[in-house]
This record gives sequence, structure tokens and C-alpha cells, in this order.
Amino acid sequence: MLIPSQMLKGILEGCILEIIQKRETYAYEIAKQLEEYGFGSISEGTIYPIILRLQKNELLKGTLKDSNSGPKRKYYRLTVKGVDNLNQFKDNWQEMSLAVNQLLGGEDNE
Amino acid sequence: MNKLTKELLKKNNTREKAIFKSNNDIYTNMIVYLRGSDLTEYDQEVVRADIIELILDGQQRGDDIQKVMGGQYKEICDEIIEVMPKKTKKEVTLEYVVISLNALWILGVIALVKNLITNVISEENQMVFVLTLGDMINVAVIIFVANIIIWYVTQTAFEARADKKILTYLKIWFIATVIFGAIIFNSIYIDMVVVSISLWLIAVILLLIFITGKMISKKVS
Repeated sequence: MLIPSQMLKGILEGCILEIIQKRETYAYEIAKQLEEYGFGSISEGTIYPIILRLQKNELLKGTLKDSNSGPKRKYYRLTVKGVDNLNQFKDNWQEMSLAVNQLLGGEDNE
Repeated sequence: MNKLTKELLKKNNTREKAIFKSNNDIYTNMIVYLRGSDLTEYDQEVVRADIIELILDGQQRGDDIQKVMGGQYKEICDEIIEVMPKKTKKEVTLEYVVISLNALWILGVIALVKNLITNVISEENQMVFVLTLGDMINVAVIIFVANIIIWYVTQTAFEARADKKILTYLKIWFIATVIFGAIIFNSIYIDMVVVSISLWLIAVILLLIFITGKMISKKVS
């Protein structure tokens, strides 16, 4: 699946930051976690440009490390800027979800 | 190409050998498409290293490139290109200068060898390098055509060609015939001498062009 809109891309960026904050991880594991949280089937190729963008904005840092099985993998961890950005995302999300819920709830009540 | 880029390129060349044959065509198409973008050579290699890593990791799990990339290869490459920083005007200019200098010394050496043979065979044996107007036009044609070919190959990397193989072959054959015909015509019939200097002097000039190209190339990322 390709990410269809700018908004979803922004949300995915925040979610990827949250997954990486929990522990240092790599592309496949990030995709799997997103899938487990109900984002549907997302390939590593789909999230790779997002990871690149986060790296470009210095929110992530990638390090090539040996894996238990097979070739080396690039593991990502948050930078200080990344942690700040994630906190900012969480605040924004709270505000937005509250507003949307109120709006949708209000619609139901009308 | 600077040292850092060269090292990464070498590493990638070695690592990509582990990509299965069944995944190789799509991987190559992705890299060819990225080569035609305005990413710096260094960033192209960084992205290439990441793509190789994703594919090899997928292979380890038994996933093919289709599953790893999600099938929409061109769109993923477009997103990568959009995200990465672009070449600055200075980098673009330096790159054109390096390509032009490389083309000049390579075509110059070919002309030098041709002139050397002609001088040795001829009875006069004056060791003179003669450049005709036809030769100069041919240099321009070759550089132009080479650029067009690279542009075409990179821009059509993801286009399916299987069903039009014969038509494509005939088109390429026709275009190649016209180009070679024009080059042969130019070298035979446009024989006005523009440059006539010592073979040794042109050898030194070509060496200087080669060294200048290499020096500038080291500064391009």
C-alpha cells in the first residue's frame, strides 16, 4: 500500500517515531508493528521514504548493525530533536482527536 | 566522484551480488531510475545501500522484492527523490564540466590513435594531429546522443517492453543506422581542416584534460 495523503503521512511519521522511541528497531519490524496496531499491510518500501524524511530532518539516526540472522541491518533510534517532535505530535494529536471526536459526536447528537 | 562516494559505491557493488536473480531486474530498474534523478551521487549510493539492505533482509525471511517494496516501485522511487536533498547549481555545473572533460579526453584519445595510425601508415610520417570540421561535429553528435540515451533509459526504467520487443528493436536499429550514417558522412565529406598540430602537443593537452577532470571529479559529491 502506498500512503495516499499528506495527512496520513504526517500521522505515520508520528507513529513511526513512537515505535522507535520504545526501542531501537529496523524497517521490517516497524512495518510489522504498524500492521499489528491495525494500519493494514504496509511494506518496508512504503515506510522507507518516511524514514528517510525523518532522518533528513534529524529526528532519527540510523546505524548499520549485525543481525542475529544474515546480513547487517540498519537500526533506527530517536535523536533529542526526534523526542521533542514526538511529544509535539502527541500534543497535536490529542487536540485534533478531541476536536474531531467532538465534531463527530456533535453530528450524532443533531 | 569523491573518496567517500567511491568507497560506498564499492561496498554496494559487492553487497548487491547477494541479491537473488529473481529480485535483480526490479532492483536494477529502481537503481537506474534513481540514477536519472537529481540526487547527488553520494545520496544515490546511500539510498542504494538501504534498498540493498531491505532486499537482503527480505530474502533472509523468504520475501521477494514485490513483498518488500509493496509493488509500487516507481512511486516509492519518486517519494525517495522528493524527500532527498537535490544537487545544488554548483554541483550540477561541476558534474556537467566533469562529464564534458571525460567525453573530450576519451574521444580525443580515439582521435589521437586514429591520427597516429594514419601518420605511421602514410609515407610522410609528420606526426601531425588533424581535426576536421566533420570530426568536431561528430564529437558534438556523440555527446548529445549519449545524453539522450541515458535520459531515455533512466526515464523508461519501469516501462514494460516485453510485448513490443520487435518494434523496439526496429526503432533502435533505424535510429542507430541514421546516427552512424551521419557520423560516417561527416567524417568523409566534411573534411575542412580546423586544427593541425603536433601529435605530442595534443597528447599533452589530453593528459591535462584528463587530470583536470579527475581533480574536479574528486570535489563532486
